[in-house]
Amino acid sequence: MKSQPGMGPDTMRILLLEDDVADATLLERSLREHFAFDLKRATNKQEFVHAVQEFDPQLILADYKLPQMTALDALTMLQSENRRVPFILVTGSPVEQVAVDCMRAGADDYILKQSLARLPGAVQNAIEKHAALREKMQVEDALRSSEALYRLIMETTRDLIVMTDRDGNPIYISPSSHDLLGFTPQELIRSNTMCMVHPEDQTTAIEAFRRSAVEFDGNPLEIRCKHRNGEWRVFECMANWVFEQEQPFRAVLIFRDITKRRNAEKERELAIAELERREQELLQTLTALKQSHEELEAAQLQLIQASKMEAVGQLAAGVAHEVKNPLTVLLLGVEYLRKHLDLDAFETREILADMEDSIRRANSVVRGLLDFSAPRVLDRQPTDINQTVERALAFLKHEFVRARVSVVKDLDPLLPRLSLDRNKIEQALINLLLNAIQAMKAGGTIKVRTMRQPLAELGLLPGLRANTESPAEAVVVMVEDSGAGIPADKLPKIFEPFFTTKPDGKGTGLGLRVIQNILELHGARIQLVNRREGGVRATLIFGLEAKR
Amino acid sequence: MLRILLIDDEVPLTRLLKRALEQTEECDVQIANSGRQGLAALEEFHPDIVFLDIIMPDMRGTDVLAAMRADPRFDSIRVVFLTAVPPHDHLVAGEPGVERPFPGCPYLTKPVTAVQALAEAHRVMSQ
Repeated sequence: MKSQPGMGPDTMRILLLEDDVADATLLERSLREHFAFDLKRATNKQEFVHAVQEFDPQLILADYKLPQMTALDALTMLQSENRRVPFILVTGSPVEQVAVDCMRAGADDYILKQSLARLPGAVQNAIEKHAALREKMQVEDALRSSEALYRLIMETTRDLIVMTDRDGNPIYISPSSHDLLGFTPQELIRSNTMCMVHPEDQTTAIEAFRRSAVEFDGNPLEIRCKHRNGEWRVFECMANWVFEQEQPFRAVLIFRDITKRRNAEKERELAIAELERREQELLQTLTALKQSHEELEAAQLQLIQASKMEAVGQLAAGVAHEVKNPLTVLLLGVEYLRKHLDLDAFETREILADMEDSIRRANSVVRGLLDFSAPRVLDRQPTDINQTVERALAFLKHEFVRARVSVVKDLDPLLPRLSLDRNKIEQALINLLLNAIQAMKAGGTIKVRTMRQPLAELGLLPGLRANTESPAEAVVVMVEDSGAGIPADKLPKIFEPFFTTKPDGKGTGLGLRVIQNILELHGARIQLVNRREGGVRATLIFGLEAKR
Repeated sequence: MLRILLIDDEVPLTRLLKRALEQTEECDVQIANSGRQGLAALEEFHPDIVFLDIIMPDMRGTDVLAAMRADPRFDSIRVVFLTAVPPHDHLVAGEPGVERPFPGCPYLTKPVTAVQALAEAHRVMSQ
């Protein structure tokens, strides 16, 4: 390890470039009493070069004139190798020009051999001067490397770094300004930078700058600045202050370009909104699809039903024509025989009655089919519903007697006239009353009532129409029997075509369906419920026009 | 005496109905078992009222009625359709949208008794 010259117990390495032995001895002696050192002497260029390499001297004392070289050559050589070694010229000839040349070439001092007493002082000075120089160079090196680091940061950062004075005037702007805003730092420093800030953001920016000098706010400010090409860029801005004597002195502003991030966020929001919109659309489409699917199914069912009806209708018409003529012949025959046979015989009367009953039953089956498939055309006339009820009851008066059914009427005489196809409604009532009769095998009572009722008392009735959209009142025909009622599990099916609870041959399963069809054509409804007291209550509901 | 013309292709029906009606001694009944026979019978018999079947092999009852209404000699003769299928249900009204050729024309639906037929005849004649 090499020690600092003259500072520790280690000895200093001195290279003496001197070809004269006597001078060398004198010189060594003049230093011995002041310094501890190793001395190496070189007498020519070759030895000098070798010693510089091997000995690594900490001080060089050189005569000017030597074989093959001068002290100036030696200095030049040291400088070319960038070696900084204290160098003192010790010469015998006081030639001014030589001294000047050597000092210029890097020698620290020069001493005349005649005044060697100055040598120790000169050596001390040269060593100290070099030590100071070295120290300064080290500090400068450190400074340079730290400056280089900051410069590297400033010049390579993608953020915009601006240093301003207390009032916000830029003193330094990082070169990234060229990329971020399209202006060089010099251009920006010369211009009014506030002009580049979006007008809506200027006040906020100024206030935030002022506030940042007083209190540190960790939240970055977002401002928009205009690029030279006219585009608006979004920056996230942070301010840090340098204080001098506790007063704000410099502000370092860091602007980060978040335009892409903002755009990406906006695009993402738009994309999400678009996605949500599409999802909504899809849901709507799905709902619409479901609905149209249901509508299609309903339409399909209706078509199937309609084509069934048409087929039934054609069949019914054909059957009616082929069956009713023979039935007429039979009926006329029975009628004729009644007049010409001996009716005193009970058996004859009974046989004729059975025959007539069978004819009517056969006829009612055909009639039911015809009614069921009848076209949906109404012949509406203003109708007193009570008269229609009376006609239906009159039509069935023999049936009531035969079935031992008594009829109780309670008809409201003040009912308004209804616009009805009275034949069809009569037919519906006849079907309904026949059902009631057939429900009471051991006889009983049928109660027929007509009345006017607020709809609210009748509950929800989808499909009920009058001349107005939502009638408030209704005319109601109620038919109550005292029969066995409808089994609960059969209730949901009673309106299905060809469904019957009657024994085989006693019902076509079309009666209630025909009633329902007729009422629906009128915009009226039928409700069938089992009465708590037993039996069934059928309610026909005709919506009334709202009162004027 | 009420002069009744029965036009119906169902022979036993016309025979029985004629007999039953005539036994009331209120009617003079003549029979035609086809549409054409019916139209021919009109010229000789001059009925007060015609019971007219609708579905017949040679021509429909509605065509017979149309021919009568087109002839000034017969256009005031009263007509009652006698039909297996009510005319406003199927045969006359036909499909929805098809106009009824003879709205308001009275009809009797088979099977009918002579009593019904006579009552209807009196009703129609009294109008």
